[in-house]
Amino acid sequence: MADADAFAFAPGLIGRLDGPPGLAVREHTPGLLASMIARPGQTTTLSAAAERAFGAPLPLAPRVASGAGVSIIWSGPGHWLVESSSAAINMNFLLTSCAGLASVFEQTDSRMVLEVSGPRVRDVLAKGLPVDLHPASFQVGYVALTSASHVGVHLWQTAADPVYRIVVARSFFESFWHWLASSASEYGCEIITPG
Amino acid sequence: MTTLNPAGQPARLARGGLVDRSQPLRFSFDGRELSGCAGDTLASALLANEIRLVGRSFKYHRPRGILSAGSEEPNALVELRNGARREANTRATVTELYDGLEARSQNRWPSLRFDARAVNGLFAPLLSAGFYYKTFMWPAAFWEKVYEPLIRRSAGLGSMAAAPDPDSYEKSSTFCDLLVIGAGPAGLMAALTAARSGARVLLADEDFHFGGRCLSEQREIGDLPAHAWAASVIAELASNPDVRLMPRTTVFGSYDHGVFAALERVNDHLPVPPPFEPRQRLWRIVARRTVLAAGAIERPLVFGDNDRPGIMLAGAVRSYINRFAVSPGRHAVVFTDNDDAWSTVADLQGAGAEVVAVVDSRDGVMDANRLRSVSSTSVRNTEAISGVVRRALGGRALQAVEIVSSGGQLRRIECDLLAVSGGWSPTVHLTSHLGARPRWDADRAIFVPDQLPAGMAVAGAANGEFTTRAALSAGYREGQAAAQALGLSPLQLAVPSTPDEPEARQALWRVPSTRGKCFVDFQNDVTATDIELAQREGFSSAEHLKRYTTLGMATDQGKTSAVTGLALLAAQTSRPIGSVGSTTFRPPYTPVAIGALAGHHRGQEFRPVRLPPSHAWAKEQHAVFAETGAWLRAQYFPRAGENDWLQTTIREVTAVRSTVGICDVSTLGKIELQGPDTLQFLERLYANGWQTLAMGRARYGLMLREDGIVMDDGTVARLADQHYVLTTTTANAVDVYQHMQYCHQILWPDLDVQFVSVSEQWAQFAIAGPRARALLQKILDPGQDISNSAFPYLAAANVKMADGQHARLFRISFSGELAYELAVPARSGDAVIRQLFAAGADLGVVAYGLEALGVMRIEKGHVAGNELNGRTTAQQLGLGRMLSTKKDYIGAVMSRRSNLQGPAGPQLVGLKPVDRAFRLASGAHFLPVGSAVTAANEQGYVTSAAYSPSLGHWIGLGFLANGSQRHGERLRICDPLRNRETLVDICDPVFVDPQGERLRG
Amino acid sequence: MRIHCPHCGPRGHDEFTYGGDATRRRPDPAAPDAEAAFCDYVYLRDNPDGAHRELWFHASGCHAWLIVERDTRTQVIGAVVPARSWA
Repeated sequence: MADADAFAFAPGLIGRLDGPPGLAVREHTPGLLASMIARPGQTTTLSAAAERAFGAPLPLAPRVASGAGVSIIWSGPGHWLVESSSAAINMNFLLTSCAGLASVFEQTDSRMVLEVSGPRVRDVLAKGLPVDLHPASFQVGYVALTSASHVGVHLWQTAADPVYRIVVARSFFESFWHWLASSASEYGCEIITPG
Repeated sequence: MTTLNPAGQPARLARGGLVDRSQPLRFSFDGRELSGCAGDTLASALLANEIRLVGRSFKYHRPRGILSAGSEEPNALVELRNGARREANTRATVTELYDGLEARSQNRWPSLRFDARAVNGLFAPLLSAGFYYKTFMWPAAFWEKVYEPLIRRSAGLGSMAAAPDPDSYEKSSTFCDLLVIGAGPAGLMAALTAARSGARVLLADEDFHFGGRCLSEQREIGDLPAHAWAASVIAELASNPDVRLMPRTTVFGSYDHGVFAALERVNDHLPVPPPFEPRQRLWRIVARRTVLAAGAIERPLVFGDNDRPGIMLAGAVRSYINRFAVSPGRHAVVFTDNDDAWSTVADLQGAGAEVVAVVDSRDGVMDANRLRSVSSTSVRNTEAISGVVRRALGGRALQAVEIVSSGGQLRRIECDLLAVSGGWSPTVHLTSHLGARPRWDADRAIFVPDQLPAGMAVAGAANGEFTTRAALSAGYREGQAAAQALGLSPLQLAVPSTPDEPEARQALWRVPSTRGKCFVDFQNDVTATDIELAQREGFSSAEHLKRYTTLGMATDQGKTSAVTGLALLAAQTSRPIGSVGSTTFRPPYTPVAIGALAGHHRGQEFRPVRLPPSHAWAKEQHAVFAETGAWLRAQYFPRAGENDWLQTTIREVTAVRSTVGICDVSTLGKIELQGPDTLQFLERLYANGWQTLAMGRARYGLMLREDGIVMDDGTVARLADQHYVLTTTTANAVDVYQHMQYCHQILWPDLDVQFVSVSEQWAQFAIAGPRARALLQKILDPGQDISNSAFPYLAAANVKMADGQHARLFRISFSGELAYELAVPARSGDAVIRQLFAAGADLGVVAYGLEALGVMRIEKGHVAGNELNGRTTAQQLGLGRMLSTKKDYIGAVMSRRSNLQGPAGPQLVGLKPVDRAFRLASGAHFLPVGSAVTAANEQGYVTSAAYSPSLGHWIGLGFLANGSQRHGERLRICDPLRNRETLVDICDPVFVDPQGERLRG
Repeated sequence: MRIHCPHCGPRGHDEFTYGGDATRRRPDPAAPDAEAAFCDYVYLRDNPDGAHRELWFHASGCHAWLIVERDTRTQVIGAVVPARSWA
């Protein structure tokens, strides 16, 4: 069992140091996270509104749709997580664009968002994530809502390398991080300064 | 590979085998320094050193050697490693040798060669079948003090390490199109066929070297030695990126819908795992199709003293010779009831051993033609005897065998190795983990797979396809079938050629007229006589036989004994074997360490822990933390000079009631609701009404289950016309959310309401005490009017902080004081709590934890988890008046059941000890004064107790029959668990400020 | 056991919580025999040997309540559909 203090979430290297790290982790701080839930019978209209507002239609399956500075991540039937790094796409904008079509709830502070990549990223994630990330089953733009090592996660793939975004509830982050860091230490893990 | 015979390994062959003589490995056994080669198991290395006595048996402490060359080994169990890494009952036959390996024999004292407890053998009549149940039954008092310690000392195997395991374990998931279990000829062929057809293949084998029997037999496959053919297939598979090869991996369990559990021994072949690497990894494999190619296990034969060191399965003899380049003996006899074992003769002779005789129990096998046809090479200098071995002679080592020929002639032949074969049993375990039973094939005397789990096929020896030619064809067949089923185009492949083998067999379950003990289950010391005795005593079903005799229990789970045991039981009851049934195979196939099942989740990481936003700050304040559900919350904040939690808690409560205190209540569940039908939804969800809840107001709410029992309580605040936020208790947050989803998705899908958990979005702090308003005013925007008139009790609003940040403010009180809950975005939580304490220093602000919170709620008679225990109604909690009579809601009908209404039921009361110094505790029972302490006299129980700083003595809450009518009554409370009792006065459950003047002030 | 969530795809059963018999319907609270009907609804369950329609909540996934056809003897899972339709 690894010493928990050895896994502080701070820029630097964790675990095996001889060779290139198997996992790279970067904290991603979105300007806005919001839950958007369609009102009954409004999904089609909402999707059209979303396309006008964000340049991306609503994904109706576990996929992510991306527009300029904004991602709309499927979160369940009729439910999306909006992640925006664009100052223009804020709560007011969402409330206005979705008025009458969806309810919007701010979640910016509720979750930690990590970007994970590296040659062993799939091997690391397999140590807790019960979802098949092999390219035959999971590709860029795919979304999974599941749990990793008993912590709920929302994950999607952003690049073929592969690169994944992982969203974790803030209160669970330390436990989640201990699991991720100890799972990655076998291959070496680099925590990159957010930027 | 050199052809040198490494020094100090007298039984190592000069050439051949798959060990690397250029890589000698040092190891020790019972302190003796020895050497082996890379590629050895501990068992083969011991044999190379001519060590054949390896352990003592479980019950009788009989000397035991090495029976097998695989995971079925019942005898050669050793203690491996030292100190905290000591591992008992490790099978030497699957322990990969590494440099510096330390092993010790076990279950012997003082030494392996001389074991004082071998006298157990003399008391064998006492230790017969069912001895636990009958021998030591009387007197009963002797069991704990005499019998059990005695048995535990003398029976049993190795001992555990006492220190915590210093190594790490982990779990992992993987997915594949085709899982192939077993990398012998059938498995390799199946994997190759499917992989070439484009399938994602996972090939797992418990051995560290893939190849199965290809490594152990002198045989050619497609013009190559079998092991070389295997190596060529493995090389091709390894180069395919969609194939995952998992050596040292035992697939030990089969579960529904193509899920398998496997244990990968990542670093068991090293003394200590490399830094950051786990020792073992538990895999969850999800496979669309599976080919079970687990091979077969050879059965020993049952004759007198058949457990002597030097008696070995014939297939194992060939493994040690051909794979490990070790000769397990110099003067050998082969005893068989089938053709297969005859190939052992040539292998032994090739290894330089003298094969004195082959004893075949079958009738009519021994004519010269037959003999030539079953022997793959000419049998030189070997006598072929039609007959049986009646008894083995020798103690710690085999010295001779007594043979009775078919003519009845008794002979004695000197030998140091007896290769035995009772035929092979297909390894069908994984076909039956889901409940299916294998089918008895009477002609071949084997259990074969019958009904298979969906998606599973069986190939090769595991399916009774014993010859290499049949195994290769079966592997190809099932590889193709799997590819087809996966929607791929199966590739046509030529099945490599291999010579045919004779495979006739005629099962000899037990040698008749034996002398000495005839063991069936070596690991549990169960003999043929024990089985007969059990049957005579009425235990004639397979399952009863197992429990009564222990046949098939312990680490090997009867791998070498189960079929023979059933056959003997069947023979004794004159039933066909198929009708005796078989015991149920359950996971795990081989033992799995608890550490591997726990994986990452040990110690601090036992389960995920949730940290509230003020956690870092609370740590700096030296808070003592408590786990409440998943949350780690501050229990109290001790200061220098305080002696115990009670002293600290009293200070915290006193400060809240006289100045102001702050408590992190972010752990409450928070669910936000929007949409035109939100009010309607709340009306149906809660037992009390919401129609009159104005904007900017909050209200206490009570939620019932459909059976009328209270589910949860909390508050609902109306932030805007169609925008509400509700809170749940910390403990029920997840359940309430799921319940709401149930109500919305299943009961009332027509309601236009949208809701989501925002528990993680907000850090929420209770600010309570007479100076709470003064403190808040210092951190809120000066324009924010929170005077009593502008922001009265149960007001709720979006507010602006002095620094411009937006927050939510609720005037809610759990403590009974003037109190607010301030919610800020979670990332600001840490900064805001520091801000609050900086601002409140001159007001005497204190931090208070769960203990103080609990004391104050008891003082106020607020119910919490102890009272909301899933068995109480609103009436019992004194909240009956909240139940609306004007609407339907969850639990409405059932809460009105007449038998929940009457006064006789338990009702919430307060209690005070008559002896004011008495420390109350929850769990005590109410009894009338003077009545006997019996369940019949019990009138209720104490649910919560606390020292009340406001009253200066202990107080409690409890449920008492008709309690609301009994204030002022004196009762006795008894706590038989702690053996305490006292007298209490029953009172109203609200001890402090019953009129609620403070919280409205 | 694997349940094929119509939204998320096949997932291990540990992502779901069990919700019991999917065929029961909440009785009319205004009916004259409401109490008896609710007693049946709340307490009485069939325990079929064979085909069963049951509710599962995808707690670690999409938060949908699902109706799962499961054979209690063979564990074979047939159709899995959302308990409500989203549009």
